[in-house]
Amino acid sequence: MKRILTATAIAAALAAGSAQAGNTSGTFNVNVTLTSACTLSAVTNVAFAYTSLQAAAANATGGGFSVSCTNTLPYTFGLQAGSGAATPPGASTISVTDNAVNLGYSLGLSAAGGTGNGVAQNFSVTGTMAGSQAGTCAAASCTNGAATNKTHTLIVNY
Amino acid sequence: MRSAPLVRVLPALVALLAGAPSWADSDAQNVTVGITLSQPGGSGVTPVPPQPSQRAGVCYSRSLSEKTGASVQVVCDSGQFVSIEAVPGQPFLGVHGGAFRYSMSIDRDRSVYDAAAKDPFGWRTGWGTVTMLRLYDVQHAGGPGDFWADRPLELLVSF
Repeated sequence: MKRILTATAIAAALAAGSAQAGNTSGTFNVNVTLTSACTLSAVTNVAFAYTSLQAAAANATGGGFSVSCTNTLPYTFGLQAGSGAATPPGASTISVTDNAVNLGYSLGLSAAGGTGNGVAQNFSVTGTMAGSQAGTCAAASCTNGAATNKTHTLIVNY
Repeated sequence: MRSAPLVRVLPALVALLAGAPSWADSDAQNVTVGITLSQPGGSGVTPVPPQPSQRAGVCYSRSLSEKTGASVQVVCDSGQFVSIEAVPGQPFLGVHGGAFRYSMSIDRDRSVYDAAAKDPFGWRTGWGTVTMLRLYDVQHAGGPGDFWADRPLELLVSF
């Protein structure tokens, strides 16, 4: 009886053991190609409120935007007059005379550029309108809604 | 055909690459500029009051009574300093006068007068301009020859 039990135990042990006779290993690489990128958010409208012949220069409000870039990726901003196809890198400032109210203004940027950190970073398009301009307006108040040169282009270069 | 030696081509190639823009790509968005232009004395931004040291600048006078109800308005380069207007929506009765132009002391600065004469807007004049407004009391007038009604209130602004 004791011999029968021992044989059964050995058979069970063999059945439970690994069937592999041996093993070997190899390594492999994971190749990643990351294409850096920056994306601009929509730019809020730049707004001027100006009284004809006012002495002091007028500063624009609005113009806020954000840019999201790949971590550590440096980038710069540029401006381009008009809404045609962007031709990077653009200029740091542009000067325009609105063709509806005949007022000249300059647009610039709150920063020349930055370094990406993977999240949205906030900047703004700044605007200045020199004082002592008469402008053109046949009523008590006018807007440049009919201007054909009121839209310009913001470029981020990376 | 002989090809250019690499020693001669390589520097030119390097220079070409170095001159190329370093930006790999770009993104762009539109920026729209909105402008609200108001006339002096209108509902827009209040002009900055002129400082005493700035009062020597060129000034303009005009009558806007037909369009805006303003009877007299004097605006200087340094900012508006006189504006008499009707209450919005109310008639401005009993007004005689408006903005008059008297170019005086022409010989003192002939060039300014000449420039004013060519001004297409017609309301820019040189030094020595007088703007006057005369008000009559029509409510208390007793009729032609009424002594009190014929006493106008005059405002004279010279600059």
